[in-house]
Amino acid sequence: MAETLGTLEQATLLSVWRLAKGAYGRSVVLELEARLGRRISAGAAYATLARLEERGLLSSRLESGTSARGGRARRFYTVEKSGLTALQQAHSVAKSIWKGIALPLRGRP
Amino acid sequence: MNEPTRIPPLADLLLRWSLTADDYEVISGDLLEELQTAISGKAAARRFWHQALLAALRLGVARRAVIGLGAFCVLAFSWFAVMEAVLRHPYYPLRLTLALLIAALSVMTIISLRGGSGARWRWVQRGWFPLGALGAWAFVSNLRAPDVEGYIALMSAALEAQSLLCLLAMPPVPRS
Repeated sequence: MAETLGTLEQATLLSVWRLAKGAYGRSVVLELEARLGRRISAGAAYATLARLEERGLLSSRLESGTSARGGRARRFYTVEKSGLTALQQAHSVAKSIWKGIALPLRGRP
Repeated sequence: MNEPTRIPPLADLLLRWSLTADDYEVISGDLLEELQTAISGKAAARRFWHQALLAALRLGVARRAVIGLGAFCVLAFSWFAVMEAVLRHPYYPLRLTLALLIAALSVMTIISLRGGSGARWRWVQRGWFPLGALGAWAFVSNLRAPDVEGYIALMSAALEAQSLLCLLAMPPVPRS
């Protein structure tokens, strides 16, 4: 069965995919804020990353940190094949929903 | 440069208390990096930092509460199982089995929160659906009974609280 993704989940998966090898907690938050044009709470971002990982859509690995982090590890994320499938499915659904609708929306169809 | 270059000791202590070892290392590293570089500006760095600390604290309090309630449930329901086995009240096999199930799930919950796979945690969370419903039923039934039993009220309230915390307040993947 196809995974259903919320807006923040889609944006998070896409951010991880865009950042490729540079996708870790803080960089994902910055990318999300840039793309969504609003502040994202750290708790929401970390919880979303953990939930996507638990669902098997993302995987993560720990890597040693830089001096700016006091040598503390970074958790890097990668989009799994099932994550890409879920994103494509979400895109198809959105396209299907909006098909034939002209913008801006008026009061009546 | 006026930015602090290390996490204040009290905040560091709270983070360490709230998070598991891996999450502490990763999240405190992210926070430290934000403070050092202030990529998104000082105000944004402070906001990100406070939000992360609050989120970690909420999680830490919930995790500690679940572990505390779990330990209480293990002891209380083990005692209840022994008493049922000794006193043999009506329907004691059912009550004994339920008490042992609750004690076992509480043990699994504590083990999972101290480190384990997401798959195991998912099964633990599923287990708390029926047992949480049982706790709510026992609590309400006891309150409606002519003679309210204090120990049943306490145990069913602990069961319900543990169930709600596991289902609503805990993260999808507790890490070691």
